[in-house]
Amino acid sequence: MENLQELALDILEAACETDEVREDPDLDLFEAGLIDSLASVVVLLELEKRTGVKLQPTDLEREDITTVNNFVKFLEKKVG
Amino acid sequence: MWLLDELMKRADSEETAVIHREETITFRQLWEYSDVLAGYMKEKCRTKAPVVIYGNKETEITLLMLAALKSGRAYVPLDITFPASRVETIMGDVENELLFNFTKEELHLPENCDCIGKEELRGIIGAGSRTAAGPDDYVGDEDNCYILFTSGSTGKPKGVQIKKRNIVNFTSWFSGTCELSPGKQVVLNQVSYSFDVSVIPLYIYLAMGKTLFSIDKEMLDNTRLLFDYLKDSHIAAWVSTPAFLEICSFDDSFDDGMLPELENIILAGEVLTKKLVRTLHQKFKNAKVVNGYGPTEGTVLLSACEITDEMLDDEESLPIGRILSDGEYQIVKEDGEQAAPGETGELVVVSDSISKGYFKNPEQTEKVFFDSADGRRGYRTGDLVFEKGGLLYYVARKDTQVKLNGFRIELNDISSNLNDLELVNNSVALPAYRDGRVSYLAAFVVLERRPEGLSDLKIGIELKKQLKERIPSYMVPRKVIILEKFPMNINGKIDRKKLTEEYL
Repeated sequence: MENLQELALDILEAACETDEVREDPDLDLFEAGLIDSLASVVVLLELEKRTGVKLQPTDLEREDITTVNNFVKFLEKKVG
Repeated sequence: MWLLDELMKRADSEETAVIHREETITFRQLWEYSDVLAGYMKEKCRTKAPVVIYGNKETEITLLMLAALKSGRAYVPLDITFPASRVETIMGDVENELLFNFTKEELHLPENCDCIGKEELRGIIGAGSRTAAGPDDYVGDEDNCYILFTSGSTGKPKGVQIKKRNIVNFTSWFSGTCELSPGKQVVLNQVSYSFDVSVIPLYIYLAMGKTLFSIDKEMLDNTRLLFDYLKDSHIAAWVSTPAFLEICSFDDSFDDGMLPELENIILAGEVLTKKLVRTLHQKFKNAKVVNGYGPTEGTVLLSACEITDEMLDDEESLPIGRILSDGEYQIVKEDGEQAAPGETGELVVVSDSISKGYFKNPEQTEKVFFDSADGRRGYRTGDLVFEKGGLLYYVARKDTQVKLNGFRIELNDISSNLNDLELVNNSVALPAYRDGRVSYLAAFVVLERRPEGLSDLKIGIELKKQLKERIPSYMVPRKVIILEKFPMNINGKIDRKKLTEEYL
């Protein structure tokens, strides 16, 4: 569980290119302007790089990366 | 080839002209409904001021564009990424008598301007028109057809005026490249109408009698929804920025299994990488890839070429093509001398595709446009290029304009809008590059005062929120970095290089 939290943060930090994602796990990253739909591809690339799990853009909905907590839940389903 | 002439020939055709989701419209309807709306504009407006259209990819926008042309006036397409305040600024310049608003934004209108919403528009179409607009009313060669507002370095957008002669010059050159095999019919219509690459589907493919397949913003944000529509689309020609196609290509299922009829891929708006072209060649074995280049001031494209295997193997980056058929160009070095082959300089182009200039802005027009000896218009692009074997190669910008996902952005447009915010003392916007392309924008800010109890993150978010009310969302920097003071270089200017090295 803890590992997935850390994994989620690492991936989102890489995709948003800022450690600001660590401050608040419920912050709406789209609204905060830290992530955009283009970044979803980077999220998938980072996920594959770190876990070897290759997912498709169609597997990842906008909702899944809206907050850190949402992304942790997504990882629990797909990786955990 | 001129759009209205070609559509007139199809005024009775029951073939599909535009598809958007479950909605379709035939060429006959396109012609009739735009006639009604042209009559409405003629009746309603006392001047020939352009009409403003604020929306996304609604099918009615196509009707309105045609109606404007038929009533002898230009249209100003503003995408929903534009915030209300910028739309208001632009309307103040345009002095439009009609605003067609497809959004829920409540706008402050110029004097004598009516706002028509989507429902009202449908009512007007349904009611028919008493006044007819005939060929005598249509825009002439020297009349503006559209005005596109692009980012300006002063913080105020510049309106690029494009007249009928410009468009006809562009389409007569580029339509050959767009040709499709017999029986191929559907063309992607994805690019925002505020961005002139969208002229290719409209003024070339629709004029050829092809069917436009429209993609709206919600479909762009949801890959699964997008692919559901694409797989049954029969798309044969794809027109977009490399960035959009790259996202699609990341999915394994996006290939000639999903788009078996695809044979023409036209990319423009930003640097095209070899990596993407190689991926496309693998995914779509029967499609050619065309790279195009051109600023809005030169009507969509000033050069283009098909990317060959030879170009992919060459040590140079991919070329931006050969200059358009009527175009004459020079590559001018910093010292004002002509560049020798292989030497880099600013691309200066003379062609009938070159705009007459910026709308109501003689000062900015004077800076970059000129008249050539033969009476044609010339434009200093600000793009640094070199020539090799008849092909042009892009190197960099001369100034602080950047391209982000195909969007053209003046960095000073961002910083001057930031500086107008109450919390901000001074700011600098800079691009972060990854793999030779702009990955995102960052703003460095020195605060006027620090709001109590707020972290840098929260201040950054607040500044972004305020900025979003002033400039298009794609221009809002992803990162806001708060500094105590700016590092200075030996000339006493803000040291941008140091900021880039340290933070980006």
